[in-house]
Amino acid sequence: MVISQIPANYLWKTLRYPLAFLLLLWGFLAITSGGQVWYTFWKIKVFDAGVILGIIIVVRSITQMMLVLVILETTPFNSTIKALYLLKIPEKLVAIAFFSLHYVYVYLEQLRKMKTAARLRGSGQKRSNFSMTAGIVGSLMVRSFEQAERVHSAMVLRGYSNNFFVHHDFHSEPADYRKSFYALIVAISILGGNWLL
Amino acid sequence: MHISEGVLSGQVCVAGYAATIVVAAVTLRKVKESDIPKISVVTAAVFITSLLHVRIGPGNVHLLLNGLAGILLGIAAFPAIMVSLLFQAVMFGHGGLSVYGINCLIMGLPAFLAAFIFRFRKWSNHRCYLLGLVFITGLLYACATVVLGVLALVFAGSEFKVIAQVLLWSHVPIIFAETIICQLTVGFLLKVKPKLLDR
Repeated sequence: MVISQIPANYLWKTLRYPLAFLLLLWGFLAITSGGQVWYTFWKIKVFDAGVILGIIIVVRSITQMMLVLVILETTPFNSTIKALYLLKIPEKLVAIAFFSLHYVYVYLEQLRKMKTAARLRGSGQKRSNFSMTAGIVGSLMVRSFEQAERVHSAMVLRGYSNNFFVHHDFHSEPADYRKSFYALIVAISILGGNWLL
Repeated sequence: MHISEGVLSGQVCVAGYAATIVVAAVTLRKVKESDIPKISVVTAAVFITSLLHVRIGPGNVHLLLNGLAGILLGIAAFPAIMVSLLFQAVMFGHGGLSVYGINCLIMGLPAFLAAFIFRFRKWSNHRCYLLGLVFITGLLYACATVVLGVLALVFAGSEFKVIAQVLLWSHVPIIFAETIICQLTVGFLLKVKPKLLDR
């Protein structure tokens, strides 16, 4: 993490909610797993098997999440797509991921506008929460389908022939092989530890 | 509902990946290249709307919408859900890459169920029949999603039995919200653009 220079703020923002859930899970496991009692707090029994399993799960989860962050946050998205393509991930799946990511930001903005419009029209006071949400979901689906037809027509007009090409190019250098080797060692250690535990 | 990173053992994760690869291979064969823009756009829409929260009593729940993807896309919902889960894992840390296979099955198989049940729409065009069918579809896919998630935890080990029970009962509001939202959304689509529901 230090070498990759990912900002600590960003790490904290990404990991805080999964960490909170994991700590809650640890608490639950500690008092419900059964086995030998390690500590009794008032009438609540804390089991050592649950505490140890909780620690293993928290450490395993955080390290796996940080490994994924290092891989994906230090690589341009086009390089990641090209790498998936070269790793023989089905072309259709890579194409769906590539196109979807572009539209995620478009629909985030549309969702923000729809929620603002709904609030301005007094939703939550006159209409129920459910009908407002269903209206937003339905409107977004209608817009997405209509946009899909226009997008496909535009792509066909620009020469799309149902083949997906990635124009971004990259070449491996000796430093890349060294870094890949270290990352592979870390990944295999985590997976091997995961398997053994 | 997805399992968090690191909770499941290695064997369960590998089994999940193996099953997901088989299901993905079968569904991707049936997906036409010309449908990719439509699937991509619906994937993005489903991903964004799954971030919406619905207020139930004192708390908020977030929607699953995997069954809605199944109703709209049919068999192509599985790759759409795979991509949506990848974005959630990478962008928000919901789920993770080691449990990605299991999460794809938890969210993807109920989408097939929803697509299968909704095919009975062709039996009648009567509005009451359609709304009843959508209600049953929504209820069944939401229950199936929660049950699959709980089963994944049960298979993780006996230490997770109590947590699995807590999760099962705590997801009852989500099942309720998902059924209502699915009913209202499909009702909206039937009024505004029924062509979307034809596959």
